[in-house]
Amino acid sequence: MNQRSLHPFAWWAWGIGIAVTASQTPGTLALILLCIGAAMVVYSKKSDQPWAKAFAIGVRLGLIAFLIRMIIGVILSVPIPGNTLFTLPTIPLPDWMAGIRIGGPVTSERLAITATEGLTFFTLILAISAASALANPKQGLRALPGVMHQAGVALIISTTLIPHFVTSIQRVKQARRLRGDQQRIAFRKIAVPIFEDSLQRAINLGSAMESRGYGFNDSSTGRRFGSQILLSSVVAITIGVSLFLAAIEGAAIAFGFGIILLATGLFVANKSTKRTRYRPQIWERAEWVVVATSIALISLVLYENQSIFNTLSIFILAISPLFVAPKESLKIREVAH
Amino acid sequence: MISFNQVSLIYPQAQKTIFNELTFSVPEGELLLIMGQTGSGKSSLLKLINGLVPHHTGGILSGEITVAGRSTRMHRPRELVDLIGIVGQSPAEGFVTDTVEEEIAFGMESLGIPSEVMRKRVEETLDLLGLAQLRNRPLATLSGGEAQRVAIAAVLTMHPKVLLLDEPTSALDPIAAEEVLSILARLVHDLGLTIIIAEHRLERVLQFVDRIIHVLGDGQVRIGLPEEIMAQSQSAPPVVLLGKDQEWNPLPLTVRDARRLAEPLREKLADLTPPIRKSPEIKSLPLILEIKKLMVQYEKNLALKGIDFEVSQGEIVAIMGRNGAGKSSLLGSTVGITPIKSGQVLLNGKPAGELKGKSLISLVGFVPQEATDLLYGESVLQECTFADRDSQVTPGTTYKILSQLLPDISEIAHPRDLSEGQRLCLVLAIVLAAAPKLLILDEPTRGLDYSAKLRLIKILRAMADEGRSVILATHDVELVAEVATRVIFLAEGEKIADGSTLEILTSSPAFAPQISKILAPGKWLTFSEITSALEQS
Repeated sequence: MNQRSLHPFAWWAWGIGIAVTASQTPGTLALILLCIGAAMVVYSKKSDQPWAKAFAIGVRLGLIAFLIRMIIGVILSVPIPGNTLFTLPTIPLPDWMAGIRIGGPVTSERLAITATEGLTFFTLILAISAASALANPKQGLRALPGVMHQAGVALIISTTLIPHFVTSIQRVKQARRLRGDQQRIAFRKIAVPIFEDSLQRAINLGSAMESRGYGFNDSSTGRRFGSQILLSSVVAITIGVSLFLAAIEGAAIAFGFGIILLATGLFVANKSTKRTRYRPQIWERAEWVVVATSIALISLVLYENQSIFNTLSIFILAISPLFVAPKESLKIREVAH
Repeated sequence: MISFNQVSLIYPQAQKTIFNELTFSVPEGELLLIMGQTGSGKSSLLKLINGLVPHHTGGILSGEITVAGRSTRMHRPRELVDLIGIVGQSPAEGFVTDTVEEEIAFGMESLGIPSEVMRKRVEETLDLLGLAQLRNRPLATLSGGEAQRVAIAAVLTMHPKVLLLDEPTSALDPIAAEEVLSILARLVHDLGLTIIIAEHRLERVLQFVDRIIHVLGDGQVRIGLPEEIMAQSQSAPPVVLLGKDQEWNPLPLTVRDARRLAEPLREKLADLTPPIRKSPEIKSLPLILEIKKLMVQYEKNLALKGIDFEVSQGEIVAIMGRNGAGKSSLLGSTVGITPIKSGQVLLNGKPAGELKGKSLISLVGFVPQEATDLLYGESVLQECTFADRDSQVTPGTTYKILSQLLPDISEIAHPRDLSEGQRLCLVLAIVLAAAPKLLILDEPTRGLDYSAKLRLIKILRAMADEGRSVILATHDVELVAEVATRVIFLAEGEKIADGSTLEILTSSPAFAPQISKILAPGKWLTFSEITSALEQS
């Protein structure tokens, strides 16, 4: 059997930990070490499933972001005094844009700052793509709390419908050839059969789900109440995150409030749905360790000064999944027999 | 177990009473067959039992239906899942998840069954239906028979008392159909399940059923033992037709029963020779289709591994083989819709892929498996006008052909509202408007009842008499026995047999028609052969 992978949520906690650390660390060395750490973890733990390609895509995206940041930084920016490397021709701008300049002298200090900022972008993108490469998205959807189950089912259905839609288009195109129809533009002739086909399929799927007990145990009032609380929690957390990124007071309060709302919302909503899960994802010591190191990582960069010791600790915390990610085969299978 | 009390069903738009005051009951552990013409309401009757009609489809229902004491009036279908499992006509369209194991567990998750119980039931069901090998397979890769079995497994895990199946074998080859049906028989005998199936292919299911509900189409049904219903029914499988004709008593329903009674008939027929199948002098007639070393590849697997064959004028060639043997790929390549990897497909000497428009459809007419793909008009008349324009014939040609096939069709009807058989006739008329030299049909009898099938057989024979050729891919052994002059057998993308219908069909037990099984070793294939031979003697 295939090896057990960490719970997808643990991978996301790890990825978010690295991303937050990257956004808070001005040190170039720390950023480079974070990137190396993320790459090490991805290459030693990734599967051969399609989503594992996300990391390679992330690297490319990150490089593009880095380049764009460098180009903008060189051409257009606030002048920083220092050791001038070369001077670009200046383009005059109207008075109301004072403070911004196109062209002009490029100093080595300016290049260094731009490069560090670009590297921060790169690391952020890398961290997110590393998490998506490692976390099994299907298991992630299935691990969502019962209240979000419907959204998960809808996503899975839509992913299976896309290939069907493609074959349906092919079939209809073939059918036009079979009728000897050579009209170029024939939106109606293609669209009508495809829409009819999709509609029929949706109706069939709906009745199949209905007759297999979908939504059997959901009490709608509890769910509605739960959804409202959840929605408010998302708003609160978003405010918290924005305040934090803008470095305005009160972030912690909004964030904490959001977390409390989230917990209550999930609790209420889960009470009202009595669904169970086949082969639930297991959450064990390894998952706790990853989450704990991730929290440690964030607190380290938030409350400590820069030092070489600190940078090394960041690296070691970042590669923690290398040490704890399990090697045993799926435990749950043995339990069941 | 199930009781209908004064049940009537009306669809308001259709202004037609589907059922009128039905009263009957089904005891526990019975295997019941619902038969009737297409569009007579077989599916509606099934869906009434679990409440999908009218909860999901609309319609006006009066009277009371109860299943194990629970009324469908008071309970939605999802509240009856612990009692009733239903498997629809195309099970693959009802799949919600993406792997076999998750699909089987899906219903139980909704019911809130504890995880350990689910594990146990999934394992039991996988074993019961022989699906253990397939547990991790993506649903999209399953064959028709496998998908049917997974769909049955997915409802069985909820431990229903009643299982409803809509045309479970229509899309399957004879062997896969046999597998599904024997599993159903086992469920009835071992678990005491009550099973109700709606099915056209009576020759496949008749031997398994305890009773039959015959939906007559005028709002009434007739319920009785298979012998009683068969004795009165117009549509019947060959074994019953033969039994009625020979006035055998009791009326045989299975090949075994008939074989025991057929001893005198076999002796009588021993001196007679079957009428010679109209097989044209193939060598002397011009070839209409030549296929040379044809290879077709999808991604990594070869669907066709070097096929050679040709078809000459006036032949009716049947292509048979299991699901996934490459039949559809072969047919598709003859009209240039399947991309060819290597080899040649020549239509009247010209490569098929290069033909377009009028020059293509005047050579070959193709009716795909999903015949409705060809339809995009809003009425029958509009479809006919489009077809006249595309095939550049005088306006009215298509409609004239259609009215020969279907004298009583309404020209303002929407193509989607026609029954399966009517729709096939409409598509045939459109395709035949261009007077193609070769007609190709992919699974034409899926969803066709006996009368529609008889009409199709007449059309095909008439075409062959005019010197036109027909190729059909089908699982319907009885249809092949009736019309084909030659049979080609495909397996795993290779041609493994090519010969006269008689030779090929009688050499394989799974693909032999009922009459030949009854009268073996005599070389008889169809009921009509016997009657005409007896008349002449």
